[in-house]
Amino acid sequence: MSCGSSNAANALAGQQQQQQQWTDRAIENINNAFAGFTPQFYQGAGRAYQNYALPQLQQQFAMNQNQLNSNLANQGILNSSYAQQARAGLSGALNQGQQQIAGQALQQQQQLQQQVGQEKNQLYSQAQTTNNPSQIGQQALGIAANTTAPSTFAPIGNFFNQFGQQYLAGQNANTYNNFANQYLNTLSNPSLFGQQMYSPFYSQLPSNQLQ
Amino acid sequence: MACGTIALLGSLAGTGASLGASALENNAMNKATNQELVRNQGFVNQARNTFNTSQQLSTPQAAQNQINQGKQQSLGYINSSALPSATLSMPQNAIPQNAGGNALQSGQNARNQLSNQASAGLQGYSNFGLQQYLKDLQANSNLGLIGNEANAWKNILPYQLQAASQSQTGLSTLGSLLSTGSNLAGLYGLTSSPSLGNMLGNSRLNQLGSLGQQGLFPMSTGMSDWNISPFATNLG
Repeated sequence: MSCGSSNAANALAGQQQQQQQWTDRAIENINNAFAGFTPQFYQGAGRAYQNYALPQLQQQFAMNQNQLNSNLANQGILNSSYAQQARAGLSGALNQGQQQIAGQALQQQQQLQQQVGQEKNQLYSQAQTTNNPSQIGQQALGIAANTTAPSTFAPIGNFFNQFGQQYLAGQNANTYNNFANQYLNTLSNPSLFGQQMYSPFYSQLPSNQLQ
Repeated sequence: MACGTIALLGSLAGTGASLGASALENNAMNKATNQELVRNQGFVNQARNTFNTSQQLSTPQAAQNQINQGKQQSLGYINSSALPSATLSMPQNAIPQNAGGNALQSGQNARNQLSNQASAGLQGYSNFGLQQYLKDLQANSNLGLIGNEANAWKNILPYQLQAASQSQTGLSTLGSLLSTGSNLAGLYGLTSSPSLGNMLGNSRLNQLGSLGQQGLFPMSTGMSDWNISPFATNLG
C-alpha cells in the first residue's frame, strides 16, 4: 500500500533520463557534423599555403639567379670557383625558403586542427544542458561549414636577402670587376699603357692584327 | 471477555501493521540508496576508463609516436615544396667545367638534406603539443559530461528517500487505527464488564451509582443524563 507517497522523485528521475537522452543525441549530431574533418582536410590548409607561397619563392629565386648570372658574366667569372660558391649559396638560400614555407604550411594545418577541436568542445558543453538536440546539430553543421583555412595569408618575406647582400653586393665582385675591366680595356686599347701588350690569345688573333 | 480478546487481537494487528509499514519503508529507502550507489559506481567506472585512456596517450612511447608523426608531416611539406627542376636549370654556358663545381654543389645538397631532417624533427614537437592539447580537451569534456550526470542523479536521491519513507503511509495509518480502536474497545469492555464489579466490590459500584444519581458522576444510562449538572445535588 503506497497511499500518500510523493511522485516528485519519479518525475525528477524521468526528467533526468530525458535530459540524458537529449545529451546523447546532441553529441551524436555533433560528431556527425564534424565527421568531415579528416587528416586530409587539415592537410588541405597546408597545401593551400604552399600554393600561395611557393610561386613567390620561385619568382624570388629566378630573379636572384638571373641577377647572379648577369653579374658573373659581366665580370667574366662565369666559370670561376667564386661562381660555384655563389651558386651553392643560392641553393642553400632556396632550401631555407622551402623549409620556412613547409613550416608555415604545417602551422596552418595545426592551427586549423586546434580551432576545430575548440569549437567541437564548446558544442559538447552546450549539449549537456540542451533540450533540443536537433538545434545543436544544426549549429554544429553551421560551424563546420564555416570552418576553413584563412582567406588571406601574410605576405612572405624576401628569402634571398642575405644571399643578395653576401654575393650580389659583395666586395669580391667589385674586386673581380676592376680586374676584368682593366684587362678588357687593355685588350681593346693597348695605348692606355703606352706600350705594346700581348693578349694571352695572341696566336689566335687575325694576321692583320699580329705585330 | 470477548471485547478484551478482540481488543488484544486488534492491538496486535495494529502493531504488526505499523511494524510492517516501517520495515517496508526501510527496505524502500535501502533500495533507493543501493540503486544510487550502483549508478554512481557506474559513473566512477566510466570516469576511470576515460582517465586511463587519456593517460595512455601521454606515455613516452605515445609522445614519441606523435613526434614522429609530426616529423613525417613536416618532411612531406618540405619535399612537396621543392621547386620544379626547370627553375633550377642554369644557362648552358654557365655549366661549370672545373671539377670543383660539382663538389661544392654536392656538399651544399648534403647540407640541405641534413638541414631538412633537423627542421622536420623540430617541427615534430609542435605536433606533440597539439595532440596532447586535443586529447586533454576531449578527456575533460567527457569527464564533465560524466560528472554532471552523476551530480544530477545524486541531487534526486533525497527526493527518492523521502518518497520511500512515505511509501507505506496507508499501512502505517491502518496500524495506528487498529491499535487505537482496539484500545478503545478494550476500555469499553473493561468498564462494562461484570467482572470489574466483582473486582471492585458491589458496594463500591453502588456508591458510584448513587453518585451518578446525584448527578455528580454521569452514568451511561442515556443521553439525557448528560444534561444533569455535575455540581447539582439532591436533584431527585
